[in-house]
Amino acid sequence: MQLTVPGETDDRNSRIEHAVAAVKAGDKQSYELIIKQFQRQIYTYCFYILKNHTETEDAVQDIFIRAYANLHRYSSSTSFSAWLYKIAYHHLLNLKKKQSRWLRLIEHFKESQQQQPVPPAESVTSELLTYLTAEERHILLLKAVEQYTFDEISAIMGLKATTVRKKYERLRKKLLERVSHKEGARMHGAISGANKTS
Amino acid sequence: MEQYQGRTRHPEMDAIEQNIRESIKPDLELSKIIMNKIGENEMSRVHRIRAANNTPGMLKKTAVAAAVAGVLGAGILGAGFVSPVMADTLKRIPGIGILYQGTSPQSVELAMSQGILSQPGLSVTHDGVTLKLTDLLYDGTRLSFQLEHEGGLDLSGEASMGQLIEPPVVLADGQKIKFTSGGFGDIPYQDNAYLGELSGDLNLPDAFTLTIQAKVKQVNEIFEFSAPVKIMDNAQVLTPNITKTEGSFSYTVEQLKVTPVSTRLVLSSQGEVPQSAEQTDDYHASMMYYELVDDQGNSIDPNQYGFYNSKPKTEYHLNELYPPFAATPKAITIKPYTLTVKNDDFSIVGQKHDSIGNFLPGRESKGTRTYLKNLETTITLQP
Repeated sequence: MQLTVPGETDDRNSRIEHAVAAVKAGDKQSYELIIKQFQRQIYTYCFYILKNHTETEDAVQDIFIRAYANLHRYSSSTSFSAWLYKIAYHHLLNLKKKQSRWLRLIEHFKESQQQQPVPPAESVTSELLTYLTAEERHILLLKAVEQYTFDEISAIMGLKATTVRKKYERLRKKLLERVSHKEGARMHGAISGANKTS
Repeated sequence: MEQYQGRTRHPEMDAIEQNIRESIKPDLELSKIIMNKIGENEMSRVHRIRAANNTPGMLKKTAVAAAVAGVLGAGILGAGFVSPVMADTLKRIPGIGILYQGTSPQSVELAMSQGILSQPGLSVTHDGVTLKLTDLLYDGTRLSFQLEHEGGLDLSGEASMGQLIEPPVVLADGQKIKFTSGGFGDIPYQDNAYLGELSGDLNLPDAFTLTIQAKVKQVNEIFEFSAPVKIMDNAQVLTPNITKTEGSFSYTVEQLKVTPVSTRLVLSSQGEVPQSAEQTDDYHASMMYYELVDDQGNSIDPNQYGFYNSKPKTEYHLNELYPPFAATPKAITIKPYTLTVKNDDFSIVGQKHDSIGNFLPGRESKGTRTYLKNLETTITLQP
């Protein structure tokens, strides 16, 4: 569980900023600490956009390598986390753009892939996300994986904070409507299961 | 529940978000894979290509001895004659520097008169994209060429020629050229040019028609360039078969080949590398590297050499390409040396990088060398 404990975020941020400074000063190995801090969350973000583990593994690698290559451009006026997710967001947009070109060709392949068994938590969430637009998905995922504020999401996606908030409200209604229309068992099960781990 | 309500006042949404956060666990430990890839990328963005049986397993990074500054304009080399001033300029130009490091007026003129160096200047355009084969070098031991972008591609962002051009197919008289080492990719600090080099185990005649077929991403048609190659192969090839020994380590010089544009050293070594006093406890000696020094005291390093995340092996067969000496030397001394490597992380004592991890200029930034005087040997060349 990733609940925010007072001071924990500041500690994490200062650890990360320290590691970034070390990498910039030539200590390449410190970048591994940065990857470890973010790899699972970035993976989750990419997976729910790309819906395929192989593509996600490639995307996560590309994002971290791109961030490393451009680290000299990062300044601590924004958080490193937001800067990294901005790279991830644009990388995913580009991948989806390329994907759409090939969509017809791979339709058959994709269908066969969807028939593969997926873990229940993945499938419940994936199914819910299908009711959202691509933009709504990014907003929800950024809010979920890093618990970003609307201001932070707006900086990553290049939208106004009020727009992000409105879009979030809209997607929330959509999702809750969908959950209430469902027979409930799976989703309520997920909710109660989640609440047990506090 | 309170924690969730405190955040959004919508427990269902909090649960969905938590479900997203916790539902995915990557199967792979990606941080190691990414760090390895970063190490590979630091090989200066020039992709190293080796035959499968020759792939170094733990290659960490490769230093590419590259001249880097300024921009190579088209039309630098005149037809057949290079003035001393122009030849002097060539030394500072990175493009030709990569094809042809260690130039001197004499060696440029010699290389051109022997057909080794030429400037075909052939342009091909497809879908509004124009590439030009600007420089070509073949000296019997390596084949290098440079393609230059003349328009049509967007190179303003992070895209580079190396990313946009797939490794080209290279043919001699219509047959694919076989090679065991070389590279295709960007020329460092020169965004509009692309370098190809085939340098290992080439078996080509002195005269042939070279064809380069390059595929640019997003352009369907192949960019094909054909140029005649004809050289007078006046290379000095020595097979001294000299063996030098220190402790359990020994190496044998099998071949030394000197052309106006390159120097090649072929040797094999056996045994554990000798360790200096500094290379004990937390440190160890790297594999053996070989510096070449001519009778005038000029010193050269291989065009590429690697650093490895592993202890050195006890057997090596090296076939290394070096730049040429400024003038044909009377004698060449082989100076073996090791680097001092930290056991924990395989970092190398004395290496200096800039903020993004590239080596700082100069030999010193690539690590402190421990020379092994007893292993030095001097080979005399024919006058």
